[in-house]
Amino acid sequence: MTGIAAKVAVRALTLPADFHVSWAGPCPSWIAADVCLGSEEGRLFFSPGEGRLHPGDNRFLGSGEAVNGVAFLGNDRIAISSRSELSFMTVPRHPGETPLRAVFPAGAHGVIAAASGYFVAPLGPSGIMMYKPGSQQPHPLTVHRFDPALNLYRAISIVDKGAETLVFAARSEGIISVGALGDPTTKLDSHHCWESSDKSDIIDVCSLAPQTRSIAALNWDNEILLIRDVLSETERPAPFQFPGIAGTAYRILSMQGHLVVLTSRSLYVLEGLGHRFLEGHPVHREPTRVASFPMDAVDINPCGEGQFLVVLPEAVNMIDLGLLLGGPNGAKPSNGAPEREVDFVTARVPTASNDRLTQRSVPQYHEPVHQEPIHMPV
Amino acid sequence: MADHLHSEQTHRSGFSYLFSDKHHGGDRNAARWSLELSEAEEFSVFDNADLHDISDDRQYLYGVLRMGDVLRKLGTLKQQVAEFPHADEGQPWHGYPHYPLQEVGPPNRRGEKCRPEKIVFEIMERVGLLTKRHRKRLMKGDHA
Repeated sequence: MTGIAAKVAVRALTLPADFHVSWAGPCPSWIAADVCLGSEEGRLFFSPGEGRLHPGDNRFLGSGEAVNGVAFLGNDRIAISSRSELSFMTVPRHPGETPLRAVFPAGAHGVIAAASGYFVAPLGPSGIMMYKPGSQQPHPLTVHRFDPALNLYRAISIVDKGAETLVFAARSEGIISVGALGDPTTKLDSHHCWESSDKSDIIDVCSLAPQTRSIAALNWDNEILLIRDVLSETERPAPFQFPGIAGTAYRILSMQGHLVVLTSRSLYVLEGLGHRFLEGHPVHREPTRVASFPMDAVDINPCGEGQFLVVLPEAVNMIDLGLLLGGPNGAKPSNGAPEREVDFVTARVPTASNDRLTQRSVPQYHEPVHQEPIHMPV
Repeated sequence: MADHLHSEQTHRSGFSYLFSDKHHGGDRNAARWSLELSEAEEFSVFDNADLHDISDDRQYLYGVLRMGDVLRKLGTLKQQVAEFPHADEGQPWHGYPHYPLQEVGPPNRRGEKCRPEKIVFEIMERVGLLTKRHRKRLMKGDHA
C-alpha cells in the first residue's frame, strides 16, 4: 500500500464522474496506486492518481460488461473478468512501449493471480481457465473441465510449504481443492471435494491464515464451514451457524483472525473466530462477539493489512477493521464508523451436524482444452 | 402436468400465458420453475414484464419477483430472472427461469444464452423491480 493513512474507520474514495463502480480491489506496488476500481461499463480506474497508466492506455473490456474481477501478475500484466469475457493486457513499462491485449471470450465469475504465475478464473460450469502470460509453452491458455460438470464460482490460491492449492466454492457441489500445480497445461494432479448431502450451496471461500491450508467457506444460508487442512482426508469441515446473521450470503473474508461476512442486509464481524478455531478453542461452545453493521453493499474485498473495500450502490468505502471494531477492550469505535449492533452469540451447530459433509474425489477431467486468446489491436 | 393456459391475460397487452409441462418438470434437460412458486406468482412475473415492457432487441421479455428487499428464487437452480421468448401474435407466451445460472444447469442452459442484456436490468431498476444493489450484482453474474 502506498500512502493510505486510514485514521478513520471509514473513508470514501473519490470516483471519477460517470464512473459506476462494480468492483474494487487492491493494486500491486508496481501500479503505483492503492486501489483498482472496475466499472459497470467495463473500464478500470486506479486511485489515487492513475498509477503507471495513462489516459490512452488500453484498459477496458471490449464487451462493455461490468467488471467482476481484476488480477495482477509479474510487473506488467493485468487480467480483467466479466460475465462475458476475460481480457489480458500489459502495462507499458516505459514511454513508447506498445501495450498488448488479448481476449478469451468466456464469461467468468472473477479472476485471481496464482502464486505459480497463472491467471486462474472460475468459469462456472465451463470449468477452470488457467493462463500463463508470456509463457513460451505452446499452449499458454488451458481450460480444465469436469465430467460431470462442476459449477466453479469463486477461487482462492493458498500456499503452504511452497506447495500451491487452488480452492473453489463450487455451489451445490461443495468445496473443490486442486493441488500440486506442476504443469497446469496437462491434467491437474490432486484434488479433493467436500460436499454436503443436503447440497449446501457454497458461494465463497477464503484463506484463514497465510502459509496454511486452512480455509473458511460460506453457503447461501449463512452457514460457515471452517477447515484446518483443506487437503486432509480425515478432517471434516466444522459447520457453524450464528443466529442473527440475516440476509442472502454474498462474501466471506478472513482478516486479522476475524471473519467478515457480507449479506444482503449487513456486514458482520465474527470477532476472533478464525484465530480461536486455529488455536484449537472449542468455538462451538464459546460465545463469539458478533458486530453487525447494517449496510446496503454490493461486494467487499480485502485491501492491505487490516483494511477492506466495500462497494456500495453509489460509492466505494475503505474500511479499517481495527478502527471499525474499536479498541481492544471494546472501546467506542473511531470517528466515521457506521452504527453497529454487538451481540455475544454461541454458535449453533446445524442439526445435521458435520456428518452430512462427506469427501469424495472430484469428477474426472475431460482432457484439458488448449485454446488461444484472441489478440486484439490496441 | 399438462400444458394449460392461465385464466387471465396480461393487463397491458392482453397476452395469454401458457404453463408448459416442459418447464415444470416434464423435461429434465429444461429449466424448471421452483415448486415453491404458485401459478399466480409465475404469471405475475410475466405480467410485470409485459406491463413495463422489459424486453431486449429480440423482443423477449424478462421478469423478476421482488418481495421487499429479497429477489425470490424462481427456478430450481436458484435463478432469479425469468425469460419469456417472443410469441407470434395471437399465440400464448411461455417462460422459464433463466439467470444467473448458479448451479450446473442442463446442457441447453449453459453458456451464452443465460445472459440477459444490460438494458434489461436497467429497465428493471428504473421501474422499481430491482434495487441498485440487485442490479449491480446481477450485471456481474452474481445472485442478488
